[in-house]
Amino acid sequence: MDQLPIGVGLKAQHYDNVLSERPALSFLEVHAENYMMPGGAHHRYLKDICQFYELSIHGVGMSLGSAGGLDTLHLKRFAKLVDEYNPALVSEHLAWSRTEDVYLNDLLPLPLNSETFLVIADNVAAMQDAIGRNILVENPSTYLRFENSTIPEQEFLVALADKTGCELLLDVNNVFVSCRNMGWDPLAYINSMPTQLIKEIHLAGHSVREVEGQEIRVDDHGSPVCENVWGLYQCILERARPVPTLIEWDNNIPDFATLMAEAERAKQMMKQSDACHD
Amino acid sequence: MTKLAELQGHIGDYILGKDIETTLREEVCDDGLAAIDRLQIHRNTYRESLVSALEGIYPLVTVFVGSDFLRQVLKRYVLEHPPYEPMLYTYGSEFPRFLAGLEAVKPMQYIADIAELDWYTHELLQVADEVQDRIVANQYRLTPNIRFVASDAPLFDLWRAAVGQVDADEVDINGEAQSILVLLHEGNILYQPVPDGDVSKFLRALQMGSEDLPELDESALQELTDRGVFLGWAL
Repeated sequence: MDQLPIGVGLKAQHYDNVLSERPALSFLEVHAENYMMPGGAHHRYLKDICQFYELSIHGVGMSLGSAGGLDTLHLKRFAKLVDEYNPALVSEHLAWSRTEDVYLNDLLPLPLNSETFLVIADNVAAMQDAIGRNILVENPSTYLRFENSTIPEQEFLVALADKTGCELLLDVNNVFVSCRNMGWDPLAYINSMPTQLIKEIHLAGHSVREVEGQEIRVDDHGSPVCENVWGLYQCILERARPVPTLIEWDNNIPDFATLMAEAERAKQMMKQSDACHD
Repeated sequence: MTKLAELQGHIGDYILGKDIETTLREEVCDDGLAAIDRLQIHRNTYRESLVSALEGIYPLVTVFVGSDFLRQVLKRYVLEHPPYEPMLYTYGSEFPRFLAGLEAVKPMQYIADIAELDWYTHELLQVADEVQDRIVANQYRLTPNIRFVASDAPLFDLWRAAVGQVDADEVDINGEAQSILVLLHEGNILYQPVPDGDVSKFLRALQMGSEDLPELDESALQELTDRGVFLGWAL
């Protein structure tokens, strides 16, 4: 990736924009599970686009936190996709989404304790073995806490990296959403993450709802990045050299110019910060 | 069963509509908001995200029944028929049959046929670009880039009305039955009418995988062959 590695989440609505405008981006990211079909237009577009951009493959359905282990068929599908596209980055989530026979289409929370650590460490290792490379693991958005959680999320992620060799995808919006929902300090969270482990950053929008009189932030990727999240991003840039940074926008998808304006803002911040490091 | 597996089973059950287990209620901290309200966020995400995904797959059904009705029906569907795989493009194939079984739809079975048309359109856009052309002796098979929707209603006319090719007032809902061949051709989906009769019966049996195909005269078979309906077959 080039010196200012900025990317956006690639949506079918923007295939033609990317190919005709060739925007000044370093990489594009796709959800792995949207490209596991045998053929069709999505693959044709993606192959064309990959002639000009590096790719990041972001899994949303591996269910790394599943107590029953990983789905071997899904692992094979994922490995095939990685072989086919040889992406620059591969990532998944500190979450679970599948019971024995049902896919719950959400990134569900885990009690962070020693039992869960062993499960997820085994699953990360199995995924890395299957695809033949190390992955990045993303911090989730959190709406609840379990009584038997004993390990802070940052410590859990760092220990997971130490145990499995994985590295981290820091979703700054998720940090903000989780901290506001759970009463944690987002700046303390960000500052506690070892920058050398962070190999990708996600920026996205979220919504604010009121539940039983309490404000809840919901990570829905359906709006611009909020000012608080930009502020946290600035704090990271001040601590670290440029890291591939992605604008995610998965719902209420805007026109391409709006998405690119968000990417441009990230690029300018990264450029200024990089100049300060020199 | 481990504690984590048990917890995940309870959360899964709650998301899919069961009452919250007492143990689950005790395991989730209140933190100023009741455990059930916190878990409800995940239940809502499951329902809303899947309903939205399926709504995108069934645009023609929306034209006939409206978004409000479709979303209500889909909310039931996602609870009764959860996905088994994370590739959501494979999810929703049972919806036409589910729709056909609803009391409100029983007098208008063509709505379920329209749903089948939507599903096949969606499904064909995912098939492999290169078809393996394997000839099986004396056996007709549909090519992988073709689907057939059988109907007792004037389905082709209804489809034309739904996509704006004709005015809805011009369609006689009690008119002659029409089925539709749905074809993927050079990346585009084409719709071809098939009138009620021997060809329709033949294609319906062929799609169902019947070994006992109805008789079809040579000229009709030739026409289907010319349209590229059969896999690796030449008369």
